Amino acid sequence: MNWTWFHRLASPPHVYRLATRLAPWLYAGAALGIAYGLIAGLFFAPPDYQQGDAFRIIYVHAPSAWLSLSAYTTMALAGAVALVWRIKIGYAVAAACAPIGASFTIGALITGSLWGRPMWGTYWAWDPRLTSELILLFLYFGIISLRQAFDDPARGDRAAAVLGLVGVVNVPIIHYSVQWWNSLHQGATLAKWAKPSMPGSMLVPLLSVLLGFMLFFGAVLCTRLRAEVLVRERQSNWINEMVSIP
Amino acid sequence: MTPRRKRLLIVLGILGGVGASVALAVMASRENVMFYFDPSQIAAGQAPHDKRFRVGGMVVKGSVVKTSSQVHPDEIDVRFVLSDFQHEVPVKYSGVLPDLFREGQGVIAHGQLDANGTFLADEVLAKHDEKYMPPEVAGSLKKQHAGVMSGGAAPKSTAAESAAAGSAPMGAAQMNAVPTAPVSSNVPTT
Amino acid sequence: MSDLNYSMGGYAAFVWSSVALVLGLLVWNVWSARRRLAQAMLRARRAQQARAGRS
Repeated sequence: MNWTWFHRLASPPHVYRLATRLAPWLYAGAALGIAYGLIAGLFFAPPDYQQGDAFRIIYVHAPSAWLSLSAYTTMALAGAVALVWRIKIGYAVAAACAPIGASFTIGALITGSLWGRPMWGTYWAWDPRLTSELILLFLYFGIISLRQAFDDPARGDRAAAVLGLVGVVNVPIIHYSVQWWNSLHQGATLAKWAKPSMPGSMLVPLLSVLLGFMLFFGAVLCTRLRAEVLVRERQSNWINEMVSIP
Repeated sequence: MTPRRKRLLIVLGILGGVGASVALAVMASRENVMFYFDPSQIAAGQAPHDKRFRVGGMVVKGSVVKTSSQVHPDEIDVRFVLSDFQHEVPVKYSGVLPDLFREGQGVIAHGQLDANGTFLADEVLAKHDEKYMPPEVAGSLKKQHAGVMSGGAAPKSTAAESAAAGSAPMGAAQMNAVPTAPVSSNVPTT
Repeated sequence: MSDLNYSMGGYAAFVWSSVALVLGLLVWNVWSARRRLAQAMLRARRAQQARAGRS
């Protein structure tokens, strides 16, 4: 099979230009989706019949948790592609994903605990969902520090990609933890093949924030990826030429 | 074999190996790593006798008796019965209850069984389900189902349905089956 | 607009601190990504100037 098209597509200058061009649109879409969804969800959606207004934490908690998982999946995939096909841009994508994902894992854990305190009656429980999300945070920390632990950046990239790949089994565990074990955490409100357990007045703002967060992830990934490429390819001619243009 | 193919196989091998071992661990732990036990499991003697554990179930309607605590004036002593629609466990607790604690609500109590089979809890957590709806909708749903809801054992069919749908394991399916909580009138509407 | 539900039915502390935290995360992500890019750009430019000076 001929992979040259793929390698050309994944060439650093091409990716750099694509990220530069894409980022403003992603930022704009993210701002719209998040602003609309948060205002509609926090102020105009009806309160929940059981939880009252405390349920509104879902509008920041669920998108953070989603982002923490999609950033990890993206990171693991990019690392795998880089390992198998020796496509160096994959390592740059993986390196750019890690801090974004880690920060929103922290966000999901803290907003979850701020939701758990008034509703469940506790900030924290060693529940399967909560514990596996905490493991996700440690995986992120481990991957970030492993990449920096090597003197040779190429070896750090490979080690981080392998750890990311091993840790990817935690992603389905987090997702299905509420079904596999007795859990304090409730099941999924949005399941792929099921009708959402939420009326439209609550659902539309949530979907809007979720979409906004996905676009936001793409936007920040573009910015971080450009920084990674600039550092990693600093010896190359195209960067030399690009930065010499005033 | 090309080197690329070899690397692909190594990556797939890592994924498969880790995935298989974790899958085995998950299967093994489904019996042992219980966040809580059902009243049925306690009745079957599966819960530990000399250790603290959690019991989860639905607060039986009309079973909640609150008395102000003699020891701490700002706390209350509560007695209630937890049920999974097959077996029941009486629970004794004193302390602050979570806001979601109501009759008909799924709760998880942490503590120990005494000699008489009463569960002495020192922590009570409330569980809620993944369904969200405005109070008006819940109110009209409640009216429609009023006949069904008044019977204590009636929610069984709904529980069986959601268990069949694979939404949650044993207790959780039953605990979350029906929105039985009373609609409090003081929930503000925007 | 003055009768917006700021009190969150008594859960204001929990709801608003969650919202503030996540908004803070959004801002931090943009800020740190842009700072990294600016630093990388500056370093690349310096390296280019050094090379241009040598030749």
